[in-house]
Amino acid sequence: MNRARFGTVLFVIIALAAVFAPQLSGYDPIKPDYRARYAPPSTTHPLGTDGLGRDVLARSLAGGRVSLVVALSATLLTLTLGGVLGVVAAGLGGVTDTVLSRVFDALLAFPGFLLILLVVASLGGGTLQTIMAMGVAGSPVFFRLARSFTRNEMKAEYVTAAGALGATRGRQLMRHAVPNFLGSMVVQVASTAAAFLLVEASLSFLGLGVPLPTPSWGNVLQDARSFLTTQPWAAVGPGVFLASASLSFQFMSDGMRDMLDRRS
Amino acid sequence: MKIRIVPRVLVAAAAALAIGATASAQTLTMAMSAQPDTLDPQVTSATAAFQVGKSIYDGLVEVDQSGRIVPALAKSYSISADGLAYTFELNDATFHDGTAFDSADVVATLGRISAEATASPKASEFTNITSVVPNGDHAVTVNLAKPTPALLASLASGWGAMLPSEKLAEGHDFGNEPVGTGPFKLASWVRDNAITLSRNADYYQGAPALEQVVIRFVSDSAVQYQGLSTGEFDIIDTVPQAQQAAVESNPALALVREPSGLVLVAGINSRLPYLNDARVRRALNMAVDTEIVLEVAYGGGTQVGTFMEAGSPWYPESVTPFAFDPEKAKALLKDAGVPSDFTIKLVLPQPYPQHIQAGQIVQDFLRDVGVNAEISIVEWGVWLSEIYGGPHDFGMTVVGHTGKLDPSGRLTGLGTDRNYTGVVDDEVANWIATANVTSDPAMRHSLYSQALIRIHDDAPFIFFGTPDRVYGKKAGVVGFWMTPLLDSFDFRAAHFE
Amino acid sequence: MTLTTSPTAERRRGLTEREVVSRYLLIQTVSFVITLWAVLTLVFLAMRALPGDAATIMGGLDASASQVSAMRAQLGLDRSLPAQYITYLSDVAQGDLGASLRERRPVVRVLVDRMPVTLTVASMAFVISLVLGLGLGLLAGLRPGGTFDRVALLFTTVALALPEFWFGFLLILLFAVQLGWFPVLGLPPQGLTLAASWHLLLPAVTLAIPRAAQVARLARARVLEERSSDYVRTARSKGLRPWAVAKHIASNSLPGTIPLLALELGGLLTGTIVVEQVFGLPGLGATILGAIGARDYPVVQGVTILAVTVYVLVNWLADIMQVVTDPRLRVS
Repeated sequence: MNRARFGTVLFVIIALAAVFAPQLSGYDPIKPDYRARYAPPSTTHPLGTDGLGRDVLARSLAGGRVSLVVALSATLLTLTLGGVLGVVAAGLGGVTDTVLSRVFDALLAFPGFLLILLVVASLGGGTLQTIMAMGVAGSPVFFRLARSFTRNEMKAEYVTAAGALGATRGRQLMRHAVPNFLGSMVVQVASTAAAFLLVEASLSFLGLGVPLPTPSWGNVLQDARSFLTTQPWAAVGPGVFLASASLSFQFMSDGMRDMLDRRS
Repeated sequence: MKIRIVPRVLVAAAAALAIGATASAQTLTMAMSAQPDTLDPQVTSATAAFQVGKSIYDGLVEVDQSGRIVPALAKSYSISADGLAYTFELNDATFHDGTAFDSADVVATLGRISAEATASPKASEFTNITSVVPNGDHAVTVNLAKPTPALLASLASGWGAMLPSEKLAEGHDFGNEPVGTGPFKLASWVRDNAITLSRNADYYQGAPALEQVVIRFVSDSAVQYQGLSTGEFDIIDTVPQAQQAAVESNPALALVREPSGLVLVAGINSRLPYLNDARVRRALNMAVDTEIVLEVAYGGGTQVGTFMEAGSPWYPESVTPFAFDPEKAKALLKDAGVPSDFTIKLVLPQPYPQHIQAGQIVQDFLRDVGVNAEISIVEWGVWLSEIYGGPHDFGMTVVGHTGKLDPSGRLTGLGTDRNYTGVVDDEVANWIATANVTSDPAMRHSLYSQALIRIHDDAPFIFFGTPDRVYGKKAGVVGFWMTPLLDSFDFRAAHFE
Repeated sequence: MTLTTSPTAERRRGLTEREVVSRYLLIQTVSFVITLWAVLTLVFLAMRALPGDAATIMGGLDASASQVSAMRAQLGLDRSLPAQYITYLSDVAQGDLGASLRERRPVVRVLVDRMPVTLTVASMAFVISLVLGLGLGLLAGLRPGGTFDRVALLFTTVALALPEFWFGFLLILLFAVQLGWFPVLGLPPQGLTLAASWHLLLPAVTLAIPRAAQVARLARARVLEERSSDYVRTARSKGLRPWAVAKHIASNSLPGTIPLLALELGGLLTGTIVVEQVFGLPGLGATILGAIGARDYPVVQGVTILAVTVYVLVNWLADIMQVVTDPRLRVS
């Protein structure tokens, strides 16, 4: 099985497990059970329970819902923001291009995590804020990619040929250049999603991400941290899920890159 | 009234004689979960600053282990019959910089905390002072515009610390280089890491037994426990609930459980529809099993039925906590016309994991009576400016109100719109304001009682209770104690056995 | 990186070495100043957009509204936003980063106090990721498809997917709790000392692993490119010994990884934020988090200026380094 396919299968399994967390674990990930707090691993609670008696496995599985949605939405946002503006900059050229390039250069000069941290903090933390911050911070990479791809594609022979045939500039872009670079963008998208999963978790770990009681991999891990030395299993479980999800994106990205390399 | 109490010199001296330990046993390491922002006692309101400051500074008076206010840098004090003049006879003491403590220091210290330029968050506690008059080097009289029975409490609190007048005149940076008369001097301070204190051999109550006290900042209770069990720490200020049994059963360790001075509540914003109805607020009190909240989120404690810590002499006997009764709560909510889809924004402050846990429990109980609480977690600075102050953008919020030596500190502002719950009751406000300036203890007590009984009925809060203060130590550490209500660390008599 | 032109491009236009260098320096400096200004403005606004200020926080639950406004006035926070902004910019232009509102001492002193811990962790992490990354990448690239290459690929994939703080947890559990080789708490009470610097090994490894993976991947790709180039083929056909060929490949391909390494190094200064939190280290990361919480604007701004300056400078140096070390770009 090639890596892209393996990554996709792994992702689908994790996503399904997240959606069907209560059925799989047999517990509600949110409802507390005050009689079963800090339970060690057992057949009924494979990863034990947390301080409110909630099943850690159920929370770890369900954590994927928010974490995946946040990472994927942020990726979509960053792709749209960077990609669209990149195409616009290259397409219009002139002042627009200069201004946009300057703005994204300044963003790029900002160490990524610090930027996200400052933006999330200034927006007050939370799910939507996290998505927005990551979306902005990730966009310069896509802007640069989209801009240089577009510029290259516009110079490419078939585009010039289409121009000679009388197609308008906008149509040239939409018909030929844009679809062509989207393929290569996919590689970047998958690896960005992998990175965003980890960033969301880090933010939740710092207390700035997805608020409780909704579980996310980050906040479940943050919760588990307070009893890390005595109940390590509660931290190991969700971490493995998070790492696997990130790994699945990584595999998709690598596999896709391989395919593109082979084609070229 | 004249009070004279045997100073702690004897206790400390006895402790000093009792040890014949090795050099390494002279250093005590304590893990502390918070950390001071500054060590200048007059520009902060952070409990952590006063917890550490207790070892560096002394006040004219202090709190003993039973919670009474007793003389400290003042040998004794007397209060005039009209309650308008407090005269303090001063002890012989020396500041860490070698200068002698005298009446000029008292004048300068009280002058600075009241000065506008200092912008002390505690300045209002000293506004009734009209003058501070020295009578020679070893006595001083504080004159007041109106009776201020809370004055001694303010002077016994961390912000009542005495500072050297010479250094004050120089504009010395007490925040980073504290100079006091306390039992220990600051040796080093690495922020986010540790404070090291070294013995003040010239301490006026007799030098402490320990050579050195190291206070490590460890926000993680799991790491605190880990350090206690491996011997890295001698005392930890928080024992994770899951490990309390393990500490108790370990003969080398000891678990100390004593009442704290906190009142834990879920404040209710009565500016909102339905929440402006006292019946609804009482119903919310009945809907939540506060015993579970205290046990699960805070590791145990005592329930209260009004805004005063359990066990306080000011707590009115007639007030009992609301009984957990979801059926009655539902009936009351129905009476008040609360709709079935009633939703409250429940705001919880970061980084207080216990309040966040309590909030989740409250949410769970409210769901059972048909009230939907939507949790929103905000950072502490946001909480202070948007929830506690400013626009009061919340339905309910969980917080702990720290202990105060005098009820005025806890109650002032209640019954007025200045309080974050917004429950306005002119009578309550009036009783409290009058009590604050009443000298007669019995009169004062009855005024505060009336207010506290009304606060129970008005229920501006879901009253959770007073949590236990649970800390752990090595069994061989003796003589360490925490100040009642203020939770300050007292290392003066601490030593190893 | 903010360069719109590079020394190599200029050189092609036939300018003299001296002209190239001075033009390059000028453009870089202007671009750096603009970037710094943009970043400063962003941080300035972001911090003020956050509700609450230092006075509210110092006042806590007990201070009355009038006391809080007195504190606000004393801290200079009562002035209008534009006034604060202009003062701040002119101060920074004169090299004055202001004073910490919380610690009530110059920001420069705060930075000087906190920097050693972060710098030590960051440089340890850099060395580890450099050695591990280049070594892995080179060895994997010399025999693509071999067993070592496959193992290295698996390692880099997993390493990139590891959540940093969780990996830190695992290291603490294994090496500090189970084996007891390291103290559970990062540093001794006196802070960073020479004797205690090995305590920073676990955080450094935590930081280094994912970065080593990125370096390894790039290094491998460069080596592969180089292997297929003409001169290598010629060298091989002439019967040059494999070791000598490998050395050639290494010296030609590794400079290509310098920009990435620079990006890593520059990012490490703030990359330590999470790791410092995990290991309880009193460095710049802990400082900026604390300062955000306390609304200590000058400190947040100061740490950001430092981080961005280092980031830009390191990337800039990398450009120059690449020109100097890459034989193909050297002017004959």
